[in-house]
Amino acid sequence: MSLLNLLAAAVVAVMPAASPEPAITLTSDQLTAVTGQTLSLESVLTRPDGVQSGVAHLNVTSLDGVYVDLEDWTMDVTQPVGPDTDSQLSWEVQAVNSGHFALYVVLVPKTGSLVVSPPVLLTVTARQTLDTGGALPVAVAVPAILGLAILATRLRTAR
Amino acid sequence: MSAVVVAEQESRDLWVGGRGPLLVFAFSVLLSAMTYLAATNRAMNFLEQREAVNLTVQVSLTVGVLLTLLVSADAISGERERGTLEALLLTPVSRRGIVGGKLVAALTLWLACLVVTVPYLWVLGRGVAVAGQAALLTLIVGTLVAVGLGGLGLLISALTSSNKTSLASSLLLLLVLFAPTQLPALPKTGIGEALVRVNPIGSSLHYVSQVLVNRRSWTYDLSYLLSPALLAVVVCGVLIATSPRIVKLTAGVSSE
Amino acid sequence: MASLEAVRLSKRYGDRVAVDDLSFVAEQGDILGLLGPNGAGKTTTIRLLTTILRPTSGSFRVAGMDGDDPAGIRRRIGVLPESSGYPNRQTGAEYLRYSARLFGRDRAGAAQIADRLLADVGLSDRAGSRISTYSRGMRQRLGIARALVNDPAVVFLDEPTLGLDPAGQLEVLTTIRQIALHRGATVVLSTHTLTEVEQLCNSLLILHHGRVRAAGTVEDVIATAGRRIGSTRLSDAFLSLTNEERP
Ligand SMILES: Nc1ncnc2c1ncn2[C@@H]1O[C@H](COP(=O)(O)OP(=O)(O)OP(=O)(O)O)[C@@H](O)[C@H]1O
Ligand SMILES: [Mg+2]
Repeated sequence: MSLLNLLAAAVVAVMPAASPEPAITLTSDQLTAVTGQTLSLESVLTRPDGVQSGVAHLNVTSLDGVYVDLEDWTMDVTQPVGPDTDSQLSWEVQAVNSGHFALYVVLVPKTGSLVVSPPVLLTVTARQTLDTGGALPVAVAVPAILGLAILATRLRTAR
Repeated sequence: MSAVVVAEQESRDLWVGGRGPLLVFAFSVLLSAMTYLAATNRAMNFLEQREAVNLTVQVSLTVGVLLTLLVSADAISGERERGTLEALLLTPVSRRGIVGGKLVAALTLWLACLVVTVPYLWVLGRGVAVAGQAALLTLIVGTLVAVGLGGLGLLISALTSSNKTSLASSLLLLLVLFAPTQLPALPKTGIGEALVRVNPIGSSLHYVSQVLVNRRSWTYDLSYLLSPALLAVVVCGVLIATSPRIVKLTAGVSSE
Repeated sequence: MASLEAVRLSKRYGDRVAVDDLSFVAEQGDILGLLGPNGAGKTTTIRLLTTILRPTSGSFRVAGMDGDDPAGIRRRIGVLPESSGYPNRQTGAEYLRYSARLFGRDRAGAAQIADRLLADVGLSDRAGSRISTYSRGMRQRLGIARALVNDPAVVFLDEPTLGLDPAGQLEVLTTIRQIALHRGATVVLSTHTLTEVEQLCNSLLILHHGRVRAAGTVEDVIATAGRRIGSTRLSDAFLSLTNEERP
């Protein structure tokens, strides 16, 4: 390979970096969880010119038309991005509802247009933690035990 | 020492053949009805489960404190009316000892309510591991409120001439404190927040739901516990300071 | 030293004077009858001396303790209050044990005192029954037993025979006599039954509108008042001393 060829290859490799297009990628593209489970997600921001700053925002959208209250899903919906911040951000998400969801991160820069990551598809299966079978015995037993105890002492003192 | 004897006998009177067991039974029926409704609700998912635990804590706290208040509001005016107070005042037990013993006896009712609440918290909180936290929270916050309002009930009882007046005033007081917590949407800032903060019941319930539902840390909204704590301290202080003057055969502050 | 002493004791409720400038002395072992029409101030006098009420003015000493030391006085006196109530849910024995414990006895000591006093007032067979099942006379005797749990030096009984049948009255009177005789305690007995006073009391205090109308031994009072009206009966003396026209 000639020196010229090598130079040309280097130029080609550097070329996209030279174009000022930032991008966000997520560390996974498919996740599953049960309701109540907490997931963590990493986003990587590629900043070719290294000076991009703004706000990164996590979004959750239901693909089944279920209402999503973002506040319930995550405590930190936004994270600031400055020139010095790590390009890798981590997000904590709790699966609140069951169904199919898309998670994505948006960078709202100081100037310029939005930068959006590709979505992560999240499938949440319902966990039936509270069932009639479990709660009913307690709901019946506690008053029954107390009632019987009262009855027993009443009968004993009445004698 | 003699305060212990008073507390012991008053508790005995409350629990052996007294109203205590029946009140606790009624309390458990209420919690059972709530739990049954929550459990048969098919749409209940993970978050609502935390809310169910929170609701149980709130009902337990409010109703438990209500029962404690009823018992303490009867403590002195009731004895006056039944003609048994004079004999108690004729013993060498100090007036403070009498009040202290009666307050402790009333608080045993709150503790019983707390114990009854625990199985409900356990069954509602399974899977989200919140029952233990909820029980501890109820113990701490509820006891604070129960001491404050139970003491207030005793004060009212000492100062009112009839038992009916004492019970009615205490109930009214609880209603006034409880009603604002049921307003649909108090503004979250300014006057709305101040209203929640000064109300010992409102701020306690707020604190509990912050921890249980919004999963805040215990210290996050700790300042909301200021008003119940202050109430408890002030009421106990007032009782200690005034009981030698207000615990007597006829109600009122002035003439004896 | 006098076991009971009042010096210019007064109690006012607003404008109403319940006890007015009352002075008297009783010695140890005395059975002092406190007489007077309704509203004369008997109950108020007893409540002053038993530290339930604070006097408007005046001073007193009870069982060697000054009126300024209410706790000290309470430790040495026993009282059956006027129309006293009883905790219906407690048993007679439980009630007496509790009272004894409030006077500082331990459990065992309190149980022993309760048993002995129940026997003294003839309630042993009903010791384990709830007070709600007691008759009026039984309650009254229980109240007297309660007044004795601390081995008092002075015993105040406010109308102890109120509402009792003749047999019940006799029982209570016998008990009172024993208290004075065997315990050497001073007894202050407020009553409307003059025969009780004649049978039981060695000294007498007749109150009217909160003032002392007569004081002294029963014989002295009858003699002094009787001389004026020509009678030797206590009831005549009492009526003449407490009729409405004031001196
Ligand atoms: N708490 C009070 N407030 C106002 N006045 C009172 C009070 N207690 C008593 N009195 C008044 O004091 C006076 C004396 O009452 P007290 O009860 O001492 O009489 P008493 O001799 O015991 O009468 P009785 O034979 O009816 O028992 C009465 O005029 C009464 O109305
Ligand atoms: Mg009277």
